[in-house]
Amino acid sequence: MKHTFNRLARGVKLQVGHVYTAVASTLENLTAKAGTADGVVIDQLAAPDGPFTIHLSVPNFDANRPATSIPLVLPAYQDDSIWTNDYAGQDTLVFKIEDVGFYFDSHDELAGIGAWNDGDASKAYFGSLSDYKLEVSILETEQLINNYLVTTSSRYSTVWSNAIPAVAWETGLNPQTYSEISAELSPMRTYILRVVAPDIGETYTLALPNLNIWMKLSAKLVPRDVHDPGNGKYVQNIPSDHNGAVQTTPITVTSPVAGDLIKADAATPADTYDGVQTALGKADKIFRDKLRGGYNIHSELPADENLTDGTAYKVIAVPMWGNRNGDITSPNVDTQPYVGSAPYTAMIVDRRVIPISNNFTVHHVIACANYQKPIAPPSSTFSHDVGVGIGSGLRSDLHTYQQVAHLRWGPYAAAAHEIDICGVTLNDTLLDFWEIVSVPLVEITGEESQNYGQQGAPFFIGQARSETNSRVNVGVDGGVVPPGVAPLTSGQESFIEVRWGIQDTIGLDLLGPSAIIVPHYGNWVYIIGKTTLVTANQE
Amino acid sequence: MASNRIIREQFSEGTTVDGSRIQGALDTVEGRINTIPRGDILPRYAEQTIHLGFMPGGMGLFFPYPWGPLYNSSPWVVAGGLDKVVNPVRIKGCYNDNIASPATGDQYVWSTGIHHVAPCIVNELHFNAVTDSVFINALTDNAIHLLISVNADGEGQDRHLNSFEAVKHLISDDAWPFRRTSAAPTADMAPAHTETLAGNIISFKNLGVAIPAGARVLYQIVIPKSVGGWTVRPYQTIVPGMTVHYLEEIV
Repeated sequence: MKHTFNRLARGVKLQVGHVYTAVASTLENLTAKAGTADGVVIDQLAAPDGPFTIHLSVPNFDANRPATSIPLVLPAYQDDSIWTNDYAGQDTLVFKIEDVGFYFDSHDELAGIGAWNDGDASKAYFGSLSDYKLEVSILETEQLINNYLVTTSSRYSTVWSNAIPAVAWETGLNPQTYSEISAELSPMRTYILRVVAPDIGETYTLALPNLNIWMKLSAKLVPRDVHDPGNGKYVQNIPSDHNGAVQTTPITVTSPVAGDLIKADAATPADTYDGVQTALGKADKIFRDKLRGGYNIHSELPADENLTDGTAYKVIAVPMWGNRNGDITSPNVDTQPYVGSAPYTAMIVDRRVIPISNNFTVHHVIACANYQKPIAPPSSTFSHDVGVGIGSGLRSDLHTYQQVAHLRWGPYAAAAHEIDICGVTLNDTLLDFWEIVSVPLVEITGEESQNYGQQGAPFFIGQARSETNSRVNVGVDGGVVPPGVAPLTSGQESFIEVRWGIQDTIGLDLLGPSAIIVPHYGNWVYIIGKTTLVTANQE
Repeated sequence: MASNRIIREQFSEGTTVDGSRIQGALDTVEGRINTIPRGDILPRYAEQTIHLGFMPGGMGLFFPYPWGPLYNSSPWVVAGGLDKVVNPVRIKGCYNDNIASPATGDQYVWSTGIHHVAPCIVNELHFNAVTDSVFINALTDNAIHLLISVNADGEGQDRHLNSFEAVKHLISDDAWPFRRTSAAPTADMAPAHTETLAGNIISFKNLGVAIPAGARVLYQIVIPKSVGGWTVRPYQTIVPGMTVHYLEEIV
């Protein structure tokens, strides 16, 4: 809250209210009220926004499909009023995109790189960077889940677009960034990053190995998640030692009473009240020690916290099935690992392992599947199976997993979890066709959230020492009766694992050559949540 | 006498006290608490996570992408281009005694570049080399290099001028297995994977590398070719993943 102190007008007798009321209000704001709306909130911060950067990786982009699109949604936190009101409230986040950056591995030369089916595959082509112009745009659209039924490219408006001229690469700007975009993005919208390389196959068949794109955004800081089931706030797997509650130790000022002489410095030992300097010095010392708050890397909290709004938005973009050299269809599905024998009814699974650092709370998991055409494999037999788990065992004894989120669905049959279905025209001949679904978090009955369909409460992921490895109960896939179950990882999680399985119960080789099993540039999973602000020291 | 940080007045016995000084002190407190600067907040960084990873590519073709060569030598440069090569060795210091030169072998680089417009602190770099019954490598050859470097500012493409921020050469593989002995987890997650997680997960933590605004940072991993478990197609022997955790200040 903002403070407005009483003015000390000229000629007025100095009274207690002039100094001590102001100091008491300040100390209360900085200490006793931390964690509440009357604590230190973003209105008081000179830097009220938390940055977050979405890093997107396309392992091998080449002239065999010289365009790609990557969908993205930025949902509001689970407890936001937008989920019940269908319109943004005053606390609903608005995102501001500032930078978009690009990199590809040109082998540290001013050269293009031959694609896998070029006569000079993976070789440096000097002089070919003139074919590396990229046309980039960020498109925005309403969503199917809000009853927007158009699936063609007419549904989009452009948030930002730019052509990266070939000369930028030729002058060695790799990596390069386009800054100060300052465009606003909204929750409850779908965004598409579209990248087209119109000339990349003109002279040679060229590639952009390890194409990396990053978008830097910001959103206002908010209070962190607190486990307080009595007030309808459940956080799965949070350390039960503190439940995320803000730790406060009130610092107060002792004011003189009627008849006391207001003194400049510390009151004498015989006095029972603070002098002016002593009172003001208490507020000064809090700033001298710096304002504190948030977790350390072991998910522990400081003894005294000062901040209410100390949590930023976080997105981890996870590329899945992203390094094929073409579309995977029935005729070539036998080349995929783990596929078994014909007719290939086994599930083929790709997985990513992400070691964790500082903790965060997962609010949403989003999966994006690309069929590259409106017609997808039949949902009666074909299914995607996406799971996010936390694991322990990284150089330790207990090797186990705890499920965080999971969904198995057939194309266009994700029911309430279906966020959007959208086609993206890439160029005259190429089309991407995305299905975006919410992968629900594990649930405890009675503690669910209604977001994109029903899902479990936010899920805390964080490293621990002995004090913080005792955790709040978690739910299971599909729900479990209260009080839930103890997390299998016992507070010892050290990595996140993301898996994307694909299966057809009749057989992947019976889908026909036109059905896309895995698109050329793969699918995407986003893990979205809150991360508390931290210090640079990892202890 | 206390040492003030934000209040520019000192009140003590024997000094002149007037309303203006008290009002000035209160104004300072009011101004400070209504617009708290970033520097007054101890936890003022938001952690960002980069994750890259992929199954080895190529539907039966065994292509190397996104791995590229360490040496920009004749096998890796289109004819007529060798005289234009600026970095015949892309990364200095990645020497393997069993790969002395491009003439006797090769090494592959997985190179990721990020242009950090704002200053940041890179705290962790992890490299996963997951192995199983399909992607086979015993990982006992101590031949991996991990590097974080910053491109030279204004010196074109010469990578010999890079500033190396964190480097580990010829990593001891036996220090970094996911587990000492591979065994199925006591509980799996869904969807089930036919293979137990194994291989090496190499972790650099608590790096505290300060990256200045505008820096172009390269995160690079180097693996050998035809050395022990690293076959003639070493990029087909592991499922690689790279994770970077870095901190950015609130804005």
